Amino acid sequence: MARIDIGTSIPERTVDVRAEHMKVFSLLTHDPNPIHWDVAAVEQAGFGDRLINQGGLNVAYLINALISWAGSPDAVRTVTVRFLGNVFAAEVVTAGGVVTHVDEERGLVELDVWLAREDGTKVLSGTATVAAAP
Amino acid sequence: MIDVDVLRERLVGRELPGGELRVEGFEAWLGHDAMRADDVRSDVLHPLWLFVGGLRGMGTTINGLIELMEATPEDGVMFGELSIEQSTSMKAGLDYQVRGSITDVARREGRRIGTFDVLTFELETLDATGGVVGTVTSSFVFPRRS
Repeated sequence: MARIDIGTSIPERTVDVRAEHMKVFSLLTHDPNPIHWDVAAVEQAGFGDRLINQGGLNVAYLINALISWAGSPDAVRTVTVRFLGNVFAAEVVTAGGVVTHVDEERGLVELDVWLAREDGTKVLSGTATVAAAP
Repeated sequence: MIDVDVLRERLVGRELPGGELRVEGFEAWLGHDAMRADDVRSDVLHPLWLFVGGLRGMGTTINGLIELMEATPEDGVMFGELSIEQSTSMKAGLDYQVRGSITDVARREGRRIGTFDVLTFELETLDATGGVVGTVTSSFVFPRRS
């Protein structure tokens, strides 16, 4: 990890959201909500004609950006996010973050983090704490 | 519309059944593939597994929580907030315990969805020594149409 200052941006990570991953995730989480695997259910609910990504997967994309930056899943200490909108299959979303505090004594870095659509609309917004590399 | 004070009295502080949790290696692989976690390809689990594992090990289901709130999935239940605290990474192939409880029920008003209730619950994942490896606090939003 390069020198970390307040205002440092972490490298963004872009994801093209795919239905196949939603279906696997539904099985792994025992999530019976059909809006993640049945287009007819999405249409019936009035959300259009594309599957809706799980909120958990959206959070995973955001955490992936933190892992890439910090170098290890172990480094991620806290992530707190608010869900602001749905993400649909075939959308492209980008995760990013910016350093807001550096605790050199404890070796921790605090960030504002987000996940946004291509038009910049945020679908997740929150904060995170990661352990800085020694 | 159910009285929120009745819900609070009934649910806040209620412990969830909890249970055992083990993420097998193939599940970890599939999960990391679904999460697009290209940097996580070992027995160390992505931090989101604290959330996924918590749901799997809490001893009830999302639908069970929805029923406790006297709602149905068709009511348009949504995720509100999620907080993950990781003390130590989980690992595939190890046994964990999950315990949890409902920590809050609140009624609010929103411009877009009108009256809604928020259910907040906390799940802790413990390793074989009883140490807490992580805590997840989740809130679900329940639109209340009269």
